[in-house]
Amino acid sequence: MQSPIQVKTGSGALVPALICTMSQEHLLQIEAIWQGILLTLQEPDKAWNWSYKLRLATNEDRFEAYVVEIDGLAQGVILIETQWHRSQIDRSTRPRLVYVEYLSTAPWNRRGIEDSPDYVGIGRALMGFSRRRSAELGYDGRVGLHALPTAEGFYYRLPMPNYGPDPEKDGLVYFEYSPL
Amino acid sequence: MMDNPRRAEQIAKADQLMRQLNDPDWLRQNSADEVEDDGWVDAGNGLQPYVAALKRLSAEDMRKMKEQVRVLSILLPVLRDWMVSWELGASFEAAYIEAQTLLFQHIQQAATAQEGWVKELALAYEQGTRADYPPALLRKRLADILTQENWQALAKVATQDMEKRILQHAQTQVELPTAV
Repeated sequence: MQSPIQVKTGSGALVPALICTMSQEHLLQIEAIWQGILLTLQEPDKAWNWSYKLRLATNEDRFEAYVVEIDGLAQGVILIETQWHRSQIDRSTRPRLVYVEYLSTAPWNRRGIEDSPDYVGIGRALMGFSRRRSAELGYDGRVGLHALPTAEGFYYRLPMPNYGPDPEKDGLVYFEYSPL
Repeated sequence: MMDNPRRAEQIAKADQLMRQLNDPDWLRQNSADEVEDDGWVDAGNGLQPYVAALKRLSAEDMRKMKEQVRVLSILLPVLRDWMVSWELGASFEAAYIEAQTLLFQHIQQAATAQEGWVKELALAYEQGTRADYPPALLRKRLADILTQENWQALAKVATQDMEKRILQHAQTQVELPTAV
């Protein structure tokens, strides 16, 4: 599955990118490069665990993983679960939805202490894609996720309706797109 | 799928969303800068330790990583095209993944040793002068970077992958048609 998009560089130019199914090659890049940078820290172990679930995506039908690729490099990743999660908003029928297990952008696409992101628009593109996938699956475009505190602003601005802190997820704020 | 008009309409809406992400005019009018702001877009409880660790990186760590990734962005497409020309067939992916790992290790080592070519390529990326480095020149650079041991490792990975592909058929149970 592939979807051509364009994203903005730090200097303002638009460049072609591709949303595609995550391959072994992308997984390697995430483990070696995205997480490799943490080797400079003293206690990186816990921070490595999340790629385990990405590996599951290649073996279990209920998971799907997609990346935004530019110049052969994975710039952002989304891992979705498509069978077990249900809407937390429509409590009468509890319809199925696409649940975002992970959404993350490469470390170099974040504003650092003194520099700007290399590419902007990766997160927005992956969220658009998740909605497309939800519609395809017959879930009416419903998508749910728990945002990290540093990213809540992004989901407010998308805008994606929020339903407050979820005590079952360490108090992370739950966001859910209603039907298209 | 399309015999359900509501679903067809939802998919059409989601498609429109994806088309907008590939439309320069729409992208200019709806800048991702305002939505993504600082590029911290992470969702998923499992990402918390990783994101916390990224926050602890120094400006110098981030600068070094960006430099290495920029060099990789220039070299990876050339490496891929070059390896495609080797006609490795189904073993291409395994060999290419190994080559990427080796290349990234060399770039990290060269950056640490402050070898000039890393800075030179990173600068070309930043200044938009990548065209000054034609594929033939970059292939020569790649050939210089990879050691004899690396070449042996690539050949071994490709050979082992091909061997695995052939041997898995030795276990195949073939059902013969029964005589009438």
